[in-house]
Amino acid sequence: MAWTVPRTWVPEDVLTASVLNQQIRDNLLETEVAKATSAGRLLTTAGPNSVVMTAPGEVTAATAVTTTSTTPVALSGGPSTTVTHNGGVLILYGARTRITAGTGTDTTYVTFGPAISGTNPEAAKVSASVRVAATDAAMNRFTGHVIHYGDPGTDTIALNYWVSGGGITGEFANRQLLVWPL
Amino acid sequence: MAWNAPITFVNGVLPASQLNQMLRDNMNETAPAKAMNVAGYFVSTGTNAIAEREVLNTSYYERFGTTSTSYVAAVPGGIAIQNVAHSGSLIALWTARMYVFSSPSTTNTACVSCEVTGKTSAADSWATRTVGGDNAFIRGMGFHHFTGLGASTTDQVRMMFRTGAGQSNFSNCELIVFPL
Amino acid sequence: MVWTVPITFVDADPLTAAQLNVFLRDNMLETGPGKATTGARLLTTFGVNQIGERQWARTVLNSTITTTNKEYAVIQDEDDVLYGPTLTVEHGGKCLVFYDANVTSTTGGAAMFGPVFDGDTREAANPASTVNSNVSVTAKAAASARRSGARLGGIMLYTGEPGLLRVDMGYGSINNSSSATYSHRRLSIYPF
Repeated sequence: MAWTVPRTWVPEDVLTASVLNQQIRDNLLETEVAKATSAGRLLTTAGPNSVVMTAPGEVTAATAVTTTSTTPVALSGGPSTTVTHNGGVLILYGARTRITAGTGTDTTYVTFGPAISGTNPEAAKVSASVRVAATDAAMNRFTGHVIHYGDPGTDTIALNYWVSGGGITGEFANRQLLVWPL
Repeated sequence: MAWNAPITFVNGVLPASQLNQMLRDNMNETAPAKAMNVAGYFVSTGTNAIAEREVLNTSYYERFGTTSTSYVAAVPGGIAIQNVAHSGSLIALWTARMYVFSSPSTTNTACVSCEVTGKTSAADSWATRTVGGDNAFIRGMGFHHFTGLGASTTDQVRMMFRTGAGQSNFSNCELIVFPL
Repeated sequence: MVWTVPITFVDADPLTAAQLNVFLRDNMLETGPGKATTGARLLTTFGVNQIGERQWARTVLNSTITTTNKEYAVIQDEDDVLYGPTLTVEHGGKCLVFYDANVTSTTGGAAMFGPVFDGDTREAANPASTVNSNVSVTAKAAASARRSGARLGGIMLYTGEPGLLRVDMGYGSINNSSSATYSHRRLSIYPF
């Protein structure tokens, strides 16, 4: 079923079942009300004359994990999630983090941020990350954001983690990822 | 009024009742019929049902502190948004300037979290936290997708604060809520 | 084209072309699929019985900048080019604004950054919120005084008159003896 541009009626038009099915039945089935199947979803556009209800979702991993990798890696528990979207995704990410070996300075720190695979792959990057240079045992907890966009499709978003090097070990806990299809 | 599954028309008589169901009643369930304000958005409240929602916010700029090691509202009345109407879930985002005022140590933190009062308590797992002291001037941001709340028009969403030890201070707070 | 409150049809009333055009054609064009022109946009309310698309905006500047200004400001370089980033969006009265950056402060003073709306830095300033005894701190800016580099961010909800909104990243350093360095400066806006 697809949307048909609503026709302009003129007097003495014959009102046939096929026309009514196209103009009323099929077009109504393309409206936002017909697309609503469960609560808690957001009305967004899927393309020209097409709407969809999208569901935001949050995934978490509470356990503490560590890494000495200087390139972004996934760690046990992720978190990660796969989302189908129509060209854009708002990604919010957060974690408690600290340096457990080595000393934090302007050039030695730990970092986390989303890596995306699927229709619009993009490696984790500095400009979409949270970075901390603290060694405190209590651990700071900060969050970041990115709007990831590209072709409509399906992307898997996974939190990645890395350190700057220089003998640094990074620890991450209370890991959180919220993905909101746009 | 409710949505009626669009019928398949057949050639013959088109009664007023069908037009009323299909054109009047169904149209009255669509977004333009529900739009009452500006800058709102639409969510599904169930099968074939939508509602207009509005993003809500509140802010509190004054400096305040707490010595509580468990989450408390910390200011009279709390930094809160009342009577949030939603269909069972909402997304909250919050931000605050925060620092450890006294008893600073490597194991102490100033923590800012959020609750849906009486339904989901504030937790460290979605809090923003800093070990920084007075000179740190850290601003943190937190977020959480609260689910399983049950539909309501009277829920309160509130920022909550605690310290690891001693006293932590906070200021320039903002709470933003997206009811779903 | 506008939305018209659907009438109640009565048997034996003639069903005219004019009625079909108003209650079927025109009303259908006001619904979500009637308004959708491209994907990944939010359908928001423009007014009573009016909906429309809103387009989010995002930008990031990875270059490193250093500032020494003590007043929170939208800064230009020596060639009068804005440090940025800058975005302009059309909105219906509210915008969700996210901002992140890598920050370092040289001597431990606060390196601040955050959104400035339509060039008005007064919006960001709140003298009543004094954290340091000698300094007034901007209300909505993110900040880090840690000498060690950090990447932090903030969020705020802008409210104002519907129309075009220009958002610049503003910067400031509240410690008289420090300079602040920023890189990977990201700004995202979700208009309603």
